[in-house]
Amino acid sequence: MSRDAYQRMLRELPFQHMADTPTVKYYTDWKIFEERLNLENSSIEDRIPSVLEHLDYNVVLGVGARVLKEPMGVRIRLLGEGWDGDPRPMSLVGVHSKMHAYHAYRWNTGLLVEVDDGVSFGDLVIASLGGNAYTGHHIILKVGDRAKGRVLVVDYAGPSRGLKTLVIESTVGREADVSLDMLALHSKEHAVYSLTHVVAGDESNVKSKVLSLGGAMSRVQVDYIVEGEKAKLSTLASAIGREGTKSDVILNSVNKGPESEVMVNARGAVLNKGYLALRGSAIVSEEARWASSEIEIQVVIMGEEARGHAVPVLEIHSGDVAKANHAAGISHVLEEQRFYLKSRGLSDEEVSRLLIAGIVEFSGLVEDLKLDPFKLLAVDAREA
Amino acid sequence: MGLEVIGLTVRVRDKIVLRRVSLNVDYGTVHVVMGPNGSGKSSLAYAIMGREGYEVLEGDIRVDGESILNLETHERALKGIYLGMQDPPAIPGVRLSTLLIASTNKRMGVSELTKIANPKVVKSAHRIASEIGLSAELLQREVNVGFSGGERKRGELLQAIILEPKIAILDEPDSGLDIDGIRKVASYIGSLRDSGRAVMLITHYARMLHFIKPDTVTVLIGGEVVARGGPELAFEVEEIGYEGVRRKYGSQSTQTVNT
Ligand SMILES: Nc1ncnc2c1ncn2[C@@H]1O[C@H](COP(=O)(O)OP(=O)(O)O)[C@@H](O)[C@H]1O
Ligand SMILES: [Mg+2]
Repeated sequence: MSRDAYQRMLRELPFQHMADTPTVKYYTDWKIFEERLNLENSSIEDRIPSVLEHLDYNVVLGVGARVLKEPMGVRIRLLGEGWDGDPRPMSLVGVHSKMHAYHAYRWNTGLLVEVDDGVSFGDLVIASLGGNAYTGHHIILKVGDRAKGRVLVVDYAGPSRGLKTLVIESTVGREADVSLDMLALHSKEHAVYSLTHVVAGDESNVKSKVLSLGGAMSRVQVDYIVEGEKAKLSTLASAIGREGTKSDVILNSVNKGPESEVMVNARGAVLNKGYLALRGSAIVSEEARWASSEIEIQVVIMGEEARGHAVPVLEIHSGDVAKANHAAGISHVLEEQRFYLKSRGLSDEEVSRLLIAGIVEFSGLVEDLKLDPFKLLAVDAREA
Repeated sequence: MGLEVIGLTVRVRDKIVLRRVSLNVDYGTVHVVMGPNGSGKSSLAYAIMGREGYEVLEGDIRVDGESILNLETHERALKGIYLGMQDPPAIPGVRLSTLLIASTNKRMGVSELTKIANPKVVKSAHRIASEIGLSAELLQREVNVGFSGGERKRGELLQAIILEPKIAILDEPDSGLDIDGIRKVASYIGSLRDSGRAVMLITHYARMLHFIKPDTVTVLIGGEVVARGGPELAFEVEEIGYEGVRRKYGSQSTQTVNT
């Protein structure tokens, strides 16, 4: 599709075709995106914040792109603005909403990452940095058959008023064993539209850890298409609605492969004047015989004027399923829980910190990356 | 020395749940508090721990002779009081190991909550967990989330041992345990006493007392102390029931049975 076509679609397509619910209408506050659609391209890119400086980055995407090192068996190619060759960006995710069209029309830095068959590539760390206006990053990731390793995308958007779009299209080959992890950390000034699409092949094993600390408006969506027979996906996610931020974190899965297994487990916390929707749909399609799908989402409201939603949807189209469960809950910190923790010697303030840290740590990413949960929580508009 | 409860009257909302209750728990002793359901046993524990909503109308609570009434719950904990709750709540998001680290760090005066200040804690947590029949895997799970009744009780006991309190209040640590579990819990309570701690053991049934001989037994009914004695009082309760004990001792102006 040509850029003109994308531009036309950008004008014509809505942000969303249908309301999410009659009462909430949209879990994402699209107005905040709309206000920023006319931003110029960024001229200055954000600096990696000090809490994330110690990570061993392979590639940094910002205003431009820098490949720092290529792990063995991994080929990294830059896709320039308007790249129209093969593979074609957006071919996996399609273009069916305004933000898709916007991204397709405007993304300016892209990457094609190919992992050869049978390679143990260790860790591949990609930074995607925002800037002082608009930045758009497109990543195509192809993991070969039987490959092993971890890909981490650090999606950071800094203190300038800005907009970032990030689309990751990934395919995981048969019998591959990979972790696809995502750390989203956005300032209160930034709106970020992030969409990750993962297609998992036969007998692949995909683990995914997601940690999201959103900004002005962060829509962080991951779609896991578990296409292969006996493919396994397990996702652990932590999402925090910090003070004065808005996040809509969406973890969707589709079982397509017979005997495929999906497990999605997410925890969220909303602090003072924060907003967090944590949701996911688990769909077991007709061809996915004897598949299993489990999804659990829990959100804790921890502050004044904090709003939260925990929304799981389970749809089963297959006649025979091995397992299908969904659970969700939204809760306030109860006096009983507070008393319990205080009786162990923690002050009110420490109880709150521990509860939040617990949720930040839930996905396991903080531990894997040796991050300090409290420093992460403190990264905000004031950090340069 | 130890814990002193002196003439304590406590109101919860509009209800008086404890009326002029007095008892001492000395170091190196086990003081059993027995009573039927609703007699105020847990309320006594909460009042000692300073739970919100448990309003002290008269009397005093002292640790080593000093009143703790003006202290907040966490300050009382840092004075060395531990309460193992009857029905501890689930804390989604906080792992049991994280809680153990945070609470031991606090006791050691380390302000950093989640970094392991004393690596011995983790080691001994694993050892004690396996000794009291808790799988080590549970340490990595969220506190009480999806724990069985027995696992919750053992988790409370585990913390009582790791935190090394001066005064341990254990609210029905035996309920939901099978006989082997009760025996193990009882032996740990014995070792808490042997290491010089003051133990207040709250129980509904006397069955645990076959395995741990208390130093003192107090029977609480309707928020009042109706009888006090040695270990034999517990077995008397078992024999004649709370109603029997109330009839036998309840009318006496003195609440102490001679031992
Ligand atoms: N938070 C509360 N709100 C209302 N009533 C309470 C509360 N806590 C205790 N009570 C009442 O106080 C009495 C004593 O309860 P409790 O201390 O739990 O007894 P026990 O532990 O001996 O079973 C009961 O009548 C109970 O209903
Ligand atoms: Mg009770």
